[in-house]
Formats: sequence, structure tokens, C-alpha cells
Amino acid sequence: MSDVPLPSGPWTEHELAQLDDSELIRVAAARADGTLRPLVTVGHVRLGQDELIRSLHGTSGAWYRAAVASGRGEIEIGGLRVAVAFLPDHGREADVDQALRSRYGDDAGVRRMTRSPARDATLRVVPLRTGV
Amino acid sequence: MPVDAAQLWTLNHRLLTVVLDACSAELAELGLEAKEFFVLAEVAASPYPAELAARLVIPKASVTVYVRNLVAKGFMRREIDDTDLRRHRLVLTDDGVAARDRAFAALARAFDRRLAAIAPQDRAELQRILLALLEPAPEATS
Repeated sequence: MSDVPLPSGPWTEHELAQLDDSELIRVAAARADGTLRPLVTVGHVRLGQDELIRSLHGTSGAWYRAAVASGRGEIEIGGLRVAVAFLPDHGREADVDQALRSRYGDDAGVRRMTRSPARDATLRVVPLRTGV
Repeated sequence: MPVDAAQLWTLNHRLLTVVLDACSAELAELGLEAKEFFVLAEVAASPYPAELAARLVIPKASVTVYVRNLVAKGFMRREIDDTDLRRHRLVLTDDGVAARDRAFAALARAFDRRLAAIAPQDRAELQRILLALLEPAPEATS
């Protein structure tokens, strides 16, 4: 991942509303050559203004590895495509667990999302703004 | 030399991931994400969404979205259950069967490329070991 500062900015109110309305979102991580991998559908939660996702397969999941390696990609929310950065997120796993349970319930699949290896593969999704 | 169970699990998981990843473009051409393929592959054995979620160990909310997508793509349809008119069972359409079978074929080709690296007798041994591992596990003692 590049050390060049990302031209990131906050989510707009419209994007936040779209995120809140979207049960799941679609995520495409960029490959090393800049092209996008196929979209995958993932669960997501919001903590304050931060949008967070997890890889069900943990840090060895294919899309997660690509997202961490390139740090870039796109998400699709309600027909809206947004260029984003993916940033590994640590230190608030319990808050993410609780937000996932609040959003999706507490079935076996959600319990899988709130345990290792998924718990170790939390990413913050940050919108990239050209011209910022 | 003792073999660490966690390492074996990791190796196995990595193998499944790389094989699936090798097929992602073919799955995408079929209009499928990996998890949608898992749903498609499982629906004949587990035709109710709650069963699918339990079998695949993915959140029910996610299954709902995958099923909605697969219905919209024409790969499955909901039918009223003859034995319980209050609920729907999921049924693959002809297009769904074809997509599932092509996806399985793509996975088989990708896995076969990996298997080509090991001798035929090792393949047979691998099959024996996998079948043994799929037997019910003994109860945990602690």
C-alpha cells in the first residue's frame, strides 16, 4: 500500500443514508494493476461516521487480501458507486461485534462474523474524493 | 513430527480460497459471486432460507439478499411448500441448474490443476483422509 496521503473525505449525508438503507453492500477491491476484482456482497455497520466491513473468511479471504494489499477499490450502495480506501481497523472489535448483532441479529452466521477469523479482518471504508 | 491442527486448518482454508479465487472470473461471467454460488449449490439439499443460512453458516440477512439476487437473475424461484402452505421453498430454475453445474465444472478444473501436482495414489489417499475427517467428530472432553 502506498504511503502517499489519500485524498479522502467524510461520507456525505446522502451516502450515509444510502449505507444505512442498504442491508448489504457490494465491495470490489483493486488489484495491483489497478483493475477491480469482481464485486462481493458483504455485511457492514456504521460506528459514528465510520463505515466498517469484515471478511467472513478472515485475513486469508481473497477480497480482503486484495483490499489490504492495494488499499483501494469501490463500493456499490443502492446503485451508487463510490471510490474508497480500505484501512485495517483494530481496537474496537467489541463495538463492531455489537453493531453487527444489532443490525443482523444473533444467528449462527452473525456469530461467525463476530469471532475469529472474521473478527481479525475488520476494515474501515473511507470515501476517496478527487480534487480534495 | 507432530502436526499442528490449527496449521492444517489454515492450509486447508488457504487451498479452498486459492481454488475459489482462481474461478472468480468464471463465476462472475456466470453472474455469480462466490457466496451466491454456495447458495445455488446448496439449495436442492436445503430449500428453505433458514436452513440455507444454518448449513452455510452465513447470516440469515445475507441469505435473504443472495436469494433475492438469485431470483432476480432467474436462477431460482420461490414455490409454496406443499407440506406447509405458510412458507416458500426455493427451487432452482433450468438456468440455475446450468449455472450451478458450470460453476462446479470451473471449480473442478481449477482444483484439478492443483491436484495435477500430486501422484494418483496420493489423490486416493487424500480422498480417504477427507472422508474420514467428514465423519462426525467425537464429543469434546473439556
